[in-house]
Amino acid sequence: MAEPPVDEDQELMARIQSGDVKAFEVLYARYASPLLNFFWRMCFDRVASEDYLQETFLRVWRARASYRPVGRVSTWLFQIAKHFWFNEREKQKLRPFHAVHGGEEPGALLLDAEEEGPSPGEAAATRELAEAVRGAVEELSDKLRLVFVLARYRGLPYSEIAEIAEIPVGTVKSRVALAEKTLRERLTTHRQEAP
Amino acid sequence: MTLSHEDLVGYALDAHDAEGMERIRAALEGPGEVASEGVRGLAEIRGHLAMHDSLPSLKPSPSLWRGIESRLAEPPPPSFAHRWWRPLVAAGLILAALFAPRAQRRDAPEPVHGRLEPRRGDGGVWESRGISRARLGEDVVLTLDDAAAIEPLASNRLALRAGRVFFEIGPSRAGFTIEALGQQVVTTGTAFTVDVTRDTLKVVVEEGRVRCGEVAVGPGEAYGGGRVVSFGHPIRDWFRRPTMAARIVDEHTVRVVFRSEMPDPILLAPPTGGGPFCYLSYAGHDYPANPEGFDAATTLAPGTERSFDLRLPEPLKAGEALFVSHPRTRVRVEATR
Repeated sequence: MAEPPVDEDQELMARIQSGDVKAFEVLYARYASPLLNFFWRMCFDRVASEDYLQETFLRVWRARASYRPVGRVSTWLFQIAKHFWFNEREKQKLRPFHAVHGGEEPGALLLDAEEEGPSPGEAAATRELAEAVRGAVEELSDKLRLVFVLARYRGLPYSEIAEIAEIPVGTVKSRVALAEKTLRERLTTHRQEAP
Repeated sequence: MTLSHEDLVGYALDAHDAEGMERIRAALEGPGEVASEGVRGLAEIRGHLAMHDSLPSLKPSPSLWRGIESRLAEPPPPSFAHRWWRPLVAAGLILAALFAPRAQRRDAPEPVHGRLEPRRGDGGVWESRGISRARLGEDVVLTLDDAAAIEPLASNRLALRAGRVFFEIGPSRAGFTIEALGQQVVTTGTAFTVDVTRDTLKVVVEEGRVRCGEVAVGPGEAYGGGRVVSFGHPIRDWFRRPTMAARIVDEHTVRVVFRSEMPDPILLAPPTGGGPFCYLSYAGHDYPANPEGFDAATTLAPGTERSFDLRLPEPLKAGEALFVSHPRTRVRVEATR
């Protein structure tokens, strides 16, 4: 998806700061999909991702007065999303049981998301692949997952990831490398075990 | 030129556009062996990444914005400026847990049908006398089999200590968790039976979806022994079954009595498809039998009974035992003249 011009986002934010709900809806329309898919790649739970998206935008609305037009609006949005994600993870660690939503089968999500249904054989292979991918990504720590998802799926430069994650660029590079190494090992094992 | 693994990872991640690919080609221009090694490594990494890429993107559903818009006027949640609130809350919870009476820490079930009573000597565990039905807060309804025992542990957690319970859990209680035989059944809003009789966990899902440990179980599926079995259609396991009794009227007639202990009406229907209503077994023979005049479905209201007379094909001798088997309910009763 092409990024909207930076100036347009900042104009929107200025209107949002004055309480313009229509402008907020435009901002939502621009960034709902990237943020939803950010959460989706982080937790593989569609229901939780939608909840997180709603809560993130509510936080954006409540924090609108604190926005300063010194950087990209998208970076600010992803920073809020990141903080929300890490807070949720901390809360889940305090709960006796983590599976609040029960999760979903990745295969089922995959099939739901496709517009045309695959053949039974393709569906089985896809389901197996999705399971392997999910297992591999879930093995990443939260910090590694964050930089990997931002680099891989948002296609963000390391400098912007560094701003969102609030870490040095060198740390972003090393975390991406470590994430890739872990994924590579896990998926190689899966490929060798697959018939 | 020596390419480190980190370099290749960086290239693979950057290669999402033409500019990225051009940078990679430039970087790989070098002595043939090193370059081809680099290309192989890059291809391998991109292959692995492609597996991850195969996950689809989600589209936000239209209702999400409406949900946000409806909450924009809400006041923000209270913020905690000080760092020490967590330790204080934790200490308070520990003290409350230590000193509060045990029963007060739990949500007590509210019986709405039948008898559900606290177990003597352990007020935390509730046992059903006969089939009973109870509410456990908003949106959680339990139907308990005779002698089933439950222990509410927290607002969204319950332990099934014995027997079978049918759970009806609304969406507002997503995440409701049942502990049974050391395993957990987590729901997303659904209706299902959990059975721990004979020391084996069995879960039968009628609606929605539950997770038994790491295994997802959907409608028309049952979980047991770590495996999922599909029935291909929604099922409610055993809960619509009436009780049945038989009494010998005379040497030519046996009377079967169906009684409903269920909190819901039960439908009694004559057999369709040519099968008999029941079988009579005596004197070494099985005889198919149909009640006279029973040709239309009838409803058995809670707490009521309905009897049918069955004609015996052969006279029943004095002192002889007779068995009545009702195949649809899998109930078999004995009567002796």
